[in-house]
Amino acid sequence: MPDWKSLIRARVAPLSELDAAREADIVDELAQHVAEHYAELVAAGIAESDAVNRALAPLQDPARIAREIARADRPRGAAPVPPPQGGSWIGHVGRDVRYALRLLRRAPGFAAAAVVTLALGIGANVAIFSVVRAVVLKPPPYRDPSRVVAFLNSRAGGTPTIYSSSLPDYEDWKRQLVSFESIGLMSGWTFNITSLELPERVFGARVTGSLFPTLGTPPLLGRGIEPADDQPGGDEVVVLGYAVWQRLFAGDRGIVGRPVMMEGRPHIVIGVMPPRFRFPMDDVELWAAIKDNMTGMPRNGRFMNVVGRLKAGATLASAQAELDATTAQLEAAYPETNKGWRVRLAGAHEAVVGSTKPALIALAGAVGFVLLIACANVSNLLLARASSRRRESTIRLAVGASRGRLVAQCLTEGIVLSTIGGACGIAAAYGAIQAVVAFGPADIPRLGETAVDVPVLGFALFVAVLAGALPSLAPAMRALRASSLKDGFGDYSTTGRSRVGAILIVCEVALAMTLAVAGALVLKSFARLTAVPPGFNSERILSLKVFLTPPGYRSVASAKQYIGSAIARMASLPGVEAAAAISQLPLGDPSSGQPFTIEGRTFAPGERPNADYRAISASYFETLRIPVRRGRGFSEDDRENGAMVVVVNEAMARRFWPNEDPIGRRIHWATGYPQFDTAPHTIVGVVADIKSAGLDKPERPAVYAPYTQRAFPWLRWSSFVVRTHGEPESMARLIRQELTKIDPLQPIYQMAPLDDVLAQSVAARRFHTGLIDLFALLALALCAVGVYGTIGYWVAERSREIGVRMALGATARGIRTMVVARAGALTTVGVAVGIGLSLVTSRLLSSLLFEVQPFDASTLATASAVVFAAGAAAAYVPARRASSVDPLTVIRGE
Amino acid sequence: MSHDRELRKGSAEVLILSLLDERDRHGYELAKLIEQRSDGALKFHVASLYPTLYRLERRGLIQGRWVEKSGQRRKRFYRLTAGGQKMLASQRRSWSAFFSALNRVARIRPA
Repeated sequence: MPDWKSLIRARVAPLSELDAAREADIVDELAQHVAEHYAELVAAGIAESDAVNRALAPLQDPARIAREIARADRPRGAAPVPPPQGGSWIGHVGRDVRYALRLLRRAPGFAAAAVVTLALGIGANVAIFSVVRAVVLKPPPYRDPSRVVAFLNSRAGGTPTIYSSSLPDYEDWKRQLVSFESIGLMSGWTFNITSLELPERVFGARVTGSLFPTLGTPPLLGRGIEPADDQPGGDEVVVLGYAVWQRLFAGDRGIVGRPVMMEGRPHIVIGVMPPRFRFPMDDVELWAAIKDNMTGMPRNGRFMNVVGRLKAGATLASAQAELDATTAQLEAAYPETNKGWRVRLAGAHEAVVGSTKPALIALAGAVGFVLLIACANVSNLLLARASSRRRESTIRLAVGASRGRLVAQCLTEGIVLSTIGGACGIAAAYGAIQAVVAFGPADIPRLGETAVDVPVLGFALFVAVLAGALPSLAPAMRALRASSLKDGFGDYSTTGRSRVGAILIVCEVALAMTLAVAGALVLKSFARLTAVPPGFNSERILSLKVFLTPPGYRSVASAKQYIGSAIARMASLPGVEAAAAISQLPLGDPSSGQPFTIEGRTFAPGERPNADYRAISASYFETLRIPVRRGRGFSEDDRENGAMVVVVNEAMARRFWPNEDPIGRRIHWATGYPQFDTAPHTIVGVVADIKSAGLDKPERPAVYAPYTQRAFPWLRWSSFVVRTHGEPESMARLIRQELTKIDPLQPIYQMAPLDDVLAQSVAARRFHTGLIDLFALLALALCAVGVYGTIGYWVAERSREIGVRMALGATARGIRTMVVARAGALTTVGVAVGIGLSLVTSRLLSSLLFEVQPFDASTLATASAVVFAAGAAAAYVPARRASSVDPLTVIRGE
Repeated sequence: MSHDRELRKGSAEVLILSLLDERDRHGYELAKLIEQRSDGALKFHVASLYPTLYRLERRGLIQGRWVEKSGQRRKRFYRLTAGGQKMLASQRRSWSAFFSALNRVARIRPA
């Protein structure tokens, strides 16, 4: 029997436009036709040799049949003609781009796969870069912001923060330091604006007259606060932020010069700041002059924010040296309040956003890895296509193209793909950014400014070019090694292609493994954090706040009366189980530390202990179900003129009375105000610790005092907690009505279930944990797609070998095992490299982890298992395909 | 003659579609049937038959599949798709109208 296939191949010109499988099918079909004709002729009595010639007679014109078949097998429209040689480089680029687009139109499946992969990688990077730009990179809206520095105070073991300076220290710095052309101070302040239709509570700041000149931002309307505004007497003035001007004053340009009632006094609006201006963070919405509102503030009242503008010629180092000398002098002059305190200068912007950097760096690294995995996948896709276009490359070389032109063509195709992918990625990033701005945590500064602006688009272009050039490197190298025409249209070495594909897969798996470990670590950390018991029961608790401002509440007595009425009214409502008051809501308010002394003990100057001061109602411990460990809580008998009592927490008892019972001991406050410091306070009880500063922070020593015996008049804000029978929000309207009946001019704000306050306290961590895990899943998915493609190609290359094996007795199961083992080998190497990489990257994550070590064996094991499972799942379909190869079909093809 | 060639080109598709409308067939069977039923007037060259089949397959009018019977070489059978049936009906109407017009003008009757 003649070998029809070989005879056909000898008579038909190569079907150069088709891939190998299609060409084989056509040859097979032609061979079938000729064989049938031959059989008929022989059956009709024609001699075999004659029958062969007559059967093959229609195939006299080899080029014609190849041409007709190629034309018929091509989709409608002219075949893309490779760009001609010669001409300027711009002309080359234009022709290469048009040619690349035509090629992509002919292969929509490949184009879609590559574009989607690149869009995911580029889009993720653009989204995270826009966040980094808004939060960290964009310079703050001050004049010459690199010259503005913040004063950060701390004691040994403490973390320096921006709200850490005192008014007397600021006044000494202003007098003594010559490195600064100006220094300004601000103190957070809550204002009730009562001249609107409804009273509005606005968080703002009182500032010295030197603050606005220090920052140097020109206002949108009017002027900023000047030193003359800060003198005693004269009009009270206020500068509005842009957001509050729009929200409460409808953006009225005539507002400048008009008064608004705040704290029972008219404040003249002298200016409105531009939209981007914030100082120091988003929450401060307006600024009023301090004047005499903080007269007598003690030197250890350290909760204010001080910034300075360096003089021309002064450096941060020289200013720090001068400040260190002044700090030493103040320490010597005021040992009671200043001993052990250090003041560090830092860029004002850095001081605000510095704490967000570790999380943002982790996110930027994660999306960088995702992009590299996407590039590896696209590289594999381009390599597969390069194999099927080898004849084109050979012919182009033969007609005079340089290898450089072939390489340029490869790069152009890659960049065209990545430009389309980048455009889609930018659209996706835009959507993601809207979600980030809408749902992102409120405590990441400047997050609301995230947007796709010109620098972000520039970054997108840079990433797109990179994401186009990188994957094109491997096919470009192939093009450089294209054979010349005289060597024939030999196949490129398939082992070479397999090797590059395998290396790419190992790299992808390593990157995906690193991300999987990071994702698992932060997830475990977050789970541990949210499992920390807060120490109080927040079920069915509604929390709310009031800030009691003058004129009605200048005296402490009036504030106490309001609080007492509020608790009584709320507790009497049907649907309310209990109501209580607390000066600082746990996890919802900053703490208020006060120095104290213990009767019978002496402390060296400056070594005086400090404790959180919390004024509460008698019902507080019961309402929040905080257990009283020893002694008692407070009762209605602990009245204003009765014996001064306090309850301490376990942290305080452990620290100061480790081996004795603190019940009956007495403490004195050491605020520096004699009227508060004289009276001794007897400890009557010890309560359990609660997580007041954060679920991840240990509880500080704290002293609870009955609000009826409240000591400090400037603590005029009060929070309430109300335990309801049903859903807390169902009682919100009724509670608001009851409190309005006491005083309609005191706005109620931040009314929310305490569970929400708890959730909000971990919002930033939840945000970056969610994002890192999302990117880890994305990386795993892309990696699985890459494994699927590479193993699929590997199976297709070996279909004959597999057919032979099966013909020789290999079972389908054995073939599947062989394929999965191949995938397993690549995955194992990738996982090993990934473990090594993650040992480096996990170290960088340690500031984001809570009670989880960066080198956590169980996490590594879990991540490895997940990656192996993804690899096995990806190899399953090609393995099934391999095991269903028909050995007869494959062998007949030999 | 060139008009012969044009006529044949135009009729190739309807010939193939109508034979496949009867039942599934492979390429050699199609070529043989066309020659037999036209009493040798129409012959399909290998170089034109298979390109026509591939063109029809690309347009979705027919669908090919490999069939293997034990002891025999595998053969590629084609069947008419729903789109192919619509196209065949449309082409039959066009050819019928064409012959009616020819007959009215030049008194040429189809067999």
